Amino acid sequence: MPRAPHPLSRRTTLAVPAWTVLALTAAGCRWGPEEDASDAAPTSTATPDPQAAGEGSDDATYAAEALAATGDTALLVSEVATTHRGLSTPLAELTALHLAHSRLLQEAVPTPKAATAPRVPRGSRQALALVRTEERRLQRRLGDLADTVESGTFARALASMSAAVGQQLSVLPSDPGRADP
Amino acid sequence: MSAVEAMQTSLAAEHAAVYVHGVLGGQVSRSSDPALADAVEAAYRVHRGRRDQLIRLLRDAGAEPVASEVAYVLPSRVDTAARISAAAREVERRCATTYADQVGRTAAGQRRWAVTALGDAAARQLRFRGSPETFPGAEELADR
Repeated sequence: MPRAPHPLSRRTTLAVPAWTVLALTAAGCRWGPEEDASDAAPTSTATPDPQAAGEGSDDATYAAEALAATGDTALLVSEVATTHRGLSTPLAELTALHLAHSRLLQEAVPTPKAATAPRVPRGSRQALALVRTEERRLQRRLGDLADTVESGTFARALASMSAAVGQQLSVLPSDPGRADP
Repeated sequence: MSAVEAMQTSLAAEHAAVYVHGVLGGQVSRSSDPALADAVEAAYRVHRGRRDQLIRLLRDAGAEPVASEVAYVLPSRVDTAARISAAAREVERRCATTYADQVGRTAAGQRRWAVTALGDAAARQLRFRGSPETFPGAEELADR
């Protein structure tokens, strides 16, 4: 029995992986349209809307919070990498990530708050553990903010930033001895 | 696109992910690559769970959940560990994009599920030989 078509728009359909479009229907095999993978990305809604998080709005406050949290964590990572040279290479990607996220957030926060200078533990193992703890805290904070802000586009960006921090945590060595070049 | 439509899109992606990971699980050699076999099996279970959660969420919202297709085409042959990893990684990448879109389409206070799913999918990409990204699920932000 043929299935009733579900109420999905063309846009909805395009967001499904292009290579899953081929459906072997009950009526026989058929090839689906060959969509470019770039078509599948919801690009028109994905860019942050600085106005949605503009000055004076609640989202502007949340953007400032996200930027401050990212800045504080970035400064810690930078100080740890400077103090413990053996950690500078594995922490380089984290530094680049925080910089990219900060740049985006600064579009909504013209006057960011200065980052708080961290205390770096003397031992590299403790320093790395502190980085892990603070990165986890940042990941949670960005996720919480994604669930809180009004703007959907801003929420999407924050959720992506949270996921990116999570990825870095997955590849960050747990033992500084294994991080030395 | 409404929040329900975004959830339907995520569900359609989950149906595809369950199918593809199921096929990949049948192709990977547990004896020669146990880590990959474990990763594919774990991903299959997660996506099955996510699919079922989405079905419940949609029914709770009064919507009829979109059904799966009978079958889905794979991106290429999956006859080597590298190709199996690449296919699994692509599934996760696409799911991350879909979840990110769902985050953007859902109201404040109701995005937690999609935020968590996005983080999970991004982390799973790494298990399939992926590299960390600056904006998982929202690649275009990296070009700004």
